[in-house]
Amino acid sequence: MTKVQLQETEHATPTESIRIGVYVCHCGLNIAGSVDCEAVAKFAATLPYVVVSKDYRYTCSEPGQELIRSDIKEYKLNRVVVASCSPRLHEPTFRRVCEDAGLNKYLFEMANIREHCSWVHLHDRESATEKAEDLVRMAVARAALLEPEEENTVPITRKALVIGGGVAGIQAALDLADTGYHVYLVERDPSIGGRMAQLDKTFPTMDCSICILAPKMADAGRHPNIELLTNSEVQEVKGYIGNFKAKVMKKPRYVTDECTACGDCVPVCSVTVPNEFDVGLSTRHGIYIPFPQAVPSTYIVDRELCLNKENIIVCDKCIKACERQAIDFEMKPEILELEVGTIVVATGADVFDPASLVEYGYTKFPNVITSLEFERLINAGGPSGGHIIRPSDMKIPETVAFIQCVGSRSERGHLYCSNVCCMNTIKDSLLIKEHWPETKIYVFYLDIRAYGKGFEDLYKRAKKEGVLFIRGLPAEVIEDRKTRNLWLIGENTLQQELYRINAEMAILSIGIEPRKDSAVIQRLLTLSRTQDGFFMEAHPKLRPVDAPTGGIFLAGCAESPKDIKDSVTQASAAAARASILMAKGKVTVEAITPRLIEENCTVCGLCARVCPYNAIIFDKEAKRVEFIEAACGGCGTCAAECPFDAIKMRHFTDEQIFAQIDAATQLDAEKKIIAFCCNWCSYAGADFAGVSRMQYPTNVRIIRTMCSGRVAPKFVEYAFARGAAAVLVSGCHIGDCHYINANYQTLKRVEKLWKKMERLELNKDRLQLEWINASEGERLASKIREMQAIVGSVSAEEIENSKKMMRKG
Amino acid sequence: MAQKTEAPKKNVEPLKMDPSFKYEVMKEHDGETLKICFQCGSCTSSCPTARFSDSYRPRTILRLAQLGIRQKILPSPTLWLCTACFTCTDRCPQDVKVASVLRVLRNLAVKEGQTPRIFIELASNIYETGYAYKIPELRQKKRETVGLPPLPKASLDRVDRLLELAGGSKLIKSKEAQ
Repeated sequence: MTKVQLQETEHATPTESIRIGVYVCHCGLNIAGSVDCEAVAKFAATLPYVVVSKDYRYTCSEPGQELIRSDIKEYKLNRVVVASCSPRLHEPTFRRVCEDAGLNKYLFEMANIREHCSWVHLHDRESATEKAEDLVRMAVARAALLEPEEENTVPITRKALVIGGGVAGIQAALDLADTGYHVYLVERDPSIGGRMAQLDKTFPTMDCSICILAPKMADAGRHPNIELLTNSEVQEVKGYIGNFKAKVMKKPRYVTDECTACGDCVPVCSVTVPNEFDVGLSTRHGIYIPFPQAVPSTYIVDRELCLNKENIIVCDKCIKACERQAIDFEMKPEILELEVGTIVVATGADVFDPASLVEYGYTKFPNVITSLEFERLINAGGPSGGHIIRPSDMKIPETVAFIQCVGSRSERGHLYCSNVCCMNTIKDSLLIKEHWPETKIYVFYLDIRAYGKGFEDLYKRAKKEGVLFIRGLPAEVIEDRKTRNLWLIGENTLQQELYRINAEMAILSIGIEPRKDSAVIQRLLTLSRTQDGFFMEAHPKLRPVDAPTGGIFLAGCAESPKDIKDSVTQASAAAARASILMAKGKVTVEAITPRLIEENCTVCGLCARVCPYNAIIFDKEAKRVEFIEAACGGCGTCAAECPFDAIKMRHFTDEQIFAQIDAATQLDAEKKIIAFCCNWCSYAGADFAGVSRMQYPTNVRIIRTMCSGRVAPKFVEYAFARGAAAVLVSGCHIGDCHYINANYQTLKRVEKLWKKMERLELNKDRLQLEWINASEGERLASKIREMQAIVGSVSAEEIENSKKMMRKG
Repeated sequence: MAQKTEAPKKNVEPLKMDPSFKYEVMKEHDGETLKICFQCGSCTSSCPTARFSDSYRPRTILRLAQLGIRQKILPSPTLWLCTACFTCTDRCPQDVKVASVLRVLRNLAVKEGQTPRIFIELASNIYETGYAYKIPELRQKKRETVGLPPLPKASLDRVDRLLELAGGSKLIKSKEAQ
């Protein structure tokens, strides 16, 4: 326990009904190490409406929480401010404390004096304390204007849509169906199974991939709660958490359910193409079944290929061959409209195409193949019946070289590590050794990442079997034209010696990349993607399977490259998360949605035009503007757009933001930077800078909005009118906005402001716009460092000038 | 590396590492890419010189620079074997400007007076005549006899100015000092 300081103030006027309690947290030495918390608490006591102000070692601890609860009762507090860590961390904790004490949770406010202050100004106690005081001043000013809000509840339809029928989608669908919910499992291909169905064995246990997958596929196929929609694509998704309406196009198979999968139709078909399932290493006919274990076990006609594609029957061989008369060329595409409460996105991934890395000669030299092609070759059900034969002469190679990190960890492919290739290669090398123990195997690698359960064992086994691991990727592969053997030239980096190794076959261990059409799913579901192109989770650690859009969950490689075990784990997690929502049957919507101030509204429709969610009903004739609360994301770009102040953004009102600007510019405005940061990316980026202890100057004051789209030009103008030296507006990168595309509006508004500043002959460098994502703490820190030059160069005259100009508006 | 205690004389002395060395490199243009090298060896394996040399290994030089083992880099004649073909830069998966980092290192070597004689010779040729190779009188006369026009004279004051700006004058001076 620590000493508790009690300073009642005389500033709170008894007639005024607002009574604020301020709690300054030491967070051990995390804050107190570089901020004089006692001084901050004493300072807070002098602020208007503050009735009680205390500093405490760990405010989030149970005694700390109890302190607030008892004070709320004792001092009849109706607003609470805690100056501690980021609201992204403990706002929910303290909101609950307020609710426990009978205070509406929207009457709580946080000042972030840890991530945004003590951690980023470790070596300047005086300025850090000064900044902490300012941050508390801003929080108190905002708190005084907070209003109690009631949260709406939305019912949740107890049905789920799973997009993608790979192992992740199958697992998620099975879990949801077993829980008792109706599931639509939509798969684009004619069969479920996905990538896993193509693999031969799985690491680290070396069990047969299809043998463990096929039973699951069959389970999904016959589960009474699962409606399997193969050969189908999601075309449109509307609605919001709990109430999605999805349009799914079910493409015709031209083969009815009467099909018994006897296969009599296949030999008579006269057209062939490369078989996708065998990555082009074999052929299939115009009527085909993707692979023997396919679910549904029904044949399909490839109409693009079939001679009858022009809708004239010019060939009826298959029709004649089918005893059950299951072939029907009259089948038409169907559009299904599904109503679901939750959606699991398990759309999987593509593999990297190594043809762009010309030095490896893929597609130029027949004996250079990819690891996926290898899977089909070594698979007993594959085109070579399980024999690895090299394409040039169909001989079993005596020397095989694996090249790792093809397309991964590289500026010439993808920057990330694809997670599975190391173990996949080790598994593949063991498979070769199992069948042909005499084969010489080289693995050229950068790092072997054998991080999972049982992985290191497998790695050791491969070494014991005589697989030679050489650190250093070949610079190029050269083909011997006569023998079609390959020369691999590179550096053995552990020996500092060059190697020149002859191999009869080279296998490129290709990486995993996002689906080429992920942008379509992204748009349909209003998801975000990380810089790598995979779908972004709501929180990388604590909400790893939730998409930022409510009611949508991610599973499998759609979220990031992962192996089968991780995909299944994540799928079960996604199913569980979706079940939580559906079991509850309703969800509360945060009360940060807009309210219309009717007397100001001119029914101009600007708000409806910028709304990313189409959540504003605008009817010029009926003079009606209405917000659909459940569909609203709460970005606030409508309020920023409204020229008539007719929209009140709850919990982020104009008045509250103006009050924060006022408080931030009260002292030494001419030396300060006012920064508007969006909750999801830039504010989180600033938090990240704190967590990473990236040091930057103390003169920045961050104001949090949900989206950069909330930053109305008038806020920026007001900051200049108050004499601020510089303003920074920051949000998620274009394309990564958590409110679909609201940050386009930010860009437009800032560009307008720049033009205006030019017109008024003000230095437009004083207004900066920067896209900062949650992991770009350094970008924020360096931006603020960079802006010091601007702050330093602004003359007193110019500040006065902008004060006048901007006040005029 | 803090050098707190003297190791007993019998043991092999560990290499002296200078953690500030990499910052010296990173100050120069493209030198900043040094830090992201993850030692894959693409540079060495792509390097045409390395294939004919027992000692020239660009990857190793970059590693030594990261570690700050300056005594192994700057005096080494292998540093000067780069032909500036830029294949390494082209193929680097991490976008390290390998050839440029090597250039930075050569410049540092020059600053320390660690320039191989031949390069000083070439530089002073340029300084004195504007040509890397001093054309002998005899050759000039031969041109005349076969009816070739005389070689154009370089504008030496401009060469002088260029060398001054590029820091080449120092190189010449170091030669004069010798």
